[in-house]
Amino acid sequence: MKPTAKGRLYTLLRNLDSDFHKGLLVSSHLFYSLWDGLVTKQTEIIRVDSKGRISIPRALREHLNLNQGVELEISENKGTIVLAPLAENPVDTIFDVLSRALPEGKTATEILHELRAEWDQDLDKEASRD
Amino acid sequence: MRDSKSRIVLDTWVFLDASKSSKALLNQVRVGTLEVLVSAVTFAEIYSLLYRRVSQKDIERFRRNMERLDLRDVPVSKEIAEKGGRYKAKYGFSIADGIILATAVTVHAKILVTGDPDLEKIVEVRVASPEKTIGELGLTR
Repeated sequence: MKPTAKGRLYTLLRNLDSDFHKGLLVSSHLFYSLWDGLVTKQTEIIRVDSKGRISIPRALREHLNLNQGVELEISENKGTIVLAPLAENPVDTIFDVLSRALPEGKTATEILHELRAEWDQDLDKEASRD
Repeated sequence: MRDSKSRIVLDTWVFLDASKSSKALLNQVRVGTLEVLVSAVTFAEIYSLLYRRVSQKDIERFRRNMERLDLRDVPVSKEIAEKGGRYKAKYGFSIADGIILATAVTVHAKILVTGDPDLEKIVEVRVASPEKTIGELGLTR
């Protein structure tokens, strides 16, 4: 089996005969132990099925309270897939954005009539050019 | 596909009205209680307002959330365009009103949802406000 980067580093340090290098060996061992602990706690291998689906591990679902029907936003960031629970209600967001686009102090009917009058004015202009 | 009993068409008016009833109706769309169709004309009208006053980032946010609602967009086919022209001539309202009415008639919508009084006089399809629609379809708020 091909030696790993971690294995090669240990071998190199073990072969060096000085207290400084022994100190490095202990430090690197501690570093990798800590790293392994973090990685094994947070990383799990999952497989994409024939339809492109994946399963979120149960422990993670429970930890993040991802019950059935919860909507997630999926995006890609430099080769990493990011799944984020959507906190916002789409209807609230739609009306929030629209509220900033609508003229203040006018009813829906007034805005709509102005908008539709623009259509017909444009059509009338086109017709008068002919 | 759901049957036509629960198929409704939303007029642009619903998106311009921030009342509780309009929001409640759109929340029903979200949970899949209704089959909701929207004319391409409505999308054009909404985006014409957004592009005048809202940042590109917010427009993207709006689009993303509209997609989450699973609304069915209805293009303006030749059939709808011709009917739209006929209704405009018949009722004397705008070309957009004509196309939206033609859309509701063509897809056999149970209700055309609007609060626009100009559309109250039409006879081709039932017209109701968001509040009345919720009541008539027995939806919960």
